[in-house]
Amino acid sequence: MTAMVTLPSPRDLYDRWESQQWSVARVEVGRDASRWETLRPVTRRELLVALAELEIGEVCVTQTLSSLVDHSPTEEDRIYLCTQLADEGRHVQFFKQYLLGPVGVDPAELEQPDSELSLLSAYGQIFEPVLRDATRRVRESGGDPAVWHAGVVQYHLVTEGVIAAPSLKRLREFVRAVGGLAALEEGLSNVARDETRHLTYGQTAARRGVQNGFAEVIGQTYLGALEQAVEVLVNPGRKAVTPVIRAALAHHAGQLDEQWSVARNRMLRQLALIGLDALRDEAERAWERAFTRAFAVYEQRWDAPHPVPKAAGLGLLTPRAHV
Amino acid sequence: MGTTDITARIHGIISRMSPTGAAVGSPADRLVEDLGYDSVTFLELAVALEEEFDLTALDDDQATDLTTVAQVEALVIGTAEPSAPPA
Ligand SMILES: [Fe+2]
Ligand SMILES: [Fe+2]
Repeated sequence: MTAMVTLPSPRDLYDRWESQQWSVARVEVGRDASRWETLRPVTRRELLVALAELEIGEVCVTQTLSSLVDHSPTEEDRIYLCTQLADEGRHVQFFKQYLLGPVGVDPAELEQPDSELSLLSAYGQIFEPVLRDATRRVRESGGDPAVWHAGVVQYHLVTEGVIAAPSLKRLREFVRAVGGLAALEEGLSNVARDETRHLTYGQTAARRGVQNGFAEVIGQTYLGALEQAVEVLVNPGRKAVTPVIRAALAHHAGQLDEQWSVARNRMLRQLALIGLDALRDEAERAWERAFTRAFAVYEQRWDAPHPVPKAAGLGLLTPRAHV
Repeated sequence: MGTTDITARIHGIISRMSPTGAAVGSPADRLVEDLGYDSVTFLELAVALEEEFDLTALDDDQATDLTTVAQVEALVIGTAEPSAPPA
């Protein structure tokens, strides 16, 4: 057996938090306003949906973390998790100020659960109920350690690790390619740095849980969450841009596949990092099944194939994110 | 509608959407090197051409490489509906 990579302790992560502070006010979101006025429709729409998705996810994680804080296994964990709670609040503020400011979104669009943006949010529609349920059970169980570890899996490993981190990475690349959005680039880079600490904490806590007798609950919760995580990535509820011009279809599908491939690699790497590499084959199978299902749901909903299987069917793409 | 009109409209769209504001000089112009297109603006261009020329169903043997203005012209002229509305 190979030696496991050393992961930082919650105390190390607390120290990093102290040295990696930033402020939303200093990002000065208003400087991007003029660029938003010149964005073309597809770019504007893609950015808006991605930002609204992150905002909705951040609100959800801010509202649900407290039960994990309250029932932390050690004081060191609790102090680290308090820093994360502060980070998530800051992320909500950043995305909210950005959407209401330079993007010019109506406040009602962000706040009402039945607004168009809320309904477009795959995370809000599909995974948010899972996370809310998992964290509510932590509270209801009075902090049963097995239930607490299941909550960390849904929160840190799946929501932050498999779903949010690859989306954030793709969004940062897209924003760089669009150009002229300096405040957004800076804000997203700050958020990504915070999220790296969060994911790392999840891996540290889950690995310790695996070593302390919670391997079964951690592994089964992780595998069980993959179907919905993939559904969020594919988002069958939103009609995807599907160019009929093949060169554009190939390019666009390739970018989606790239993002999903990042998610897949991360999903497998996390499993190895927490000491559950034995579940790798099972996780890969669950991942493939989830894509097949999400593409079928998409096709039924829109009466047309999703651009990724469409491009693959035309021989324009060899998918890496699923087989 | 004549091919010349369609060509002029295609050139107009490509020039208008060029990130650097460069105008099409000749059909040999390359989208990326000469006109400043990148992955984001290329997708915008594709969607704009589809809307402008009502490209809803393209032939199975369409080119998968769109590097030059001439290749865009060939794709659109080869497949545009005769009833495409005037600009
Ligand atoms: Fe966050
Ligand atoms: Fe986070």
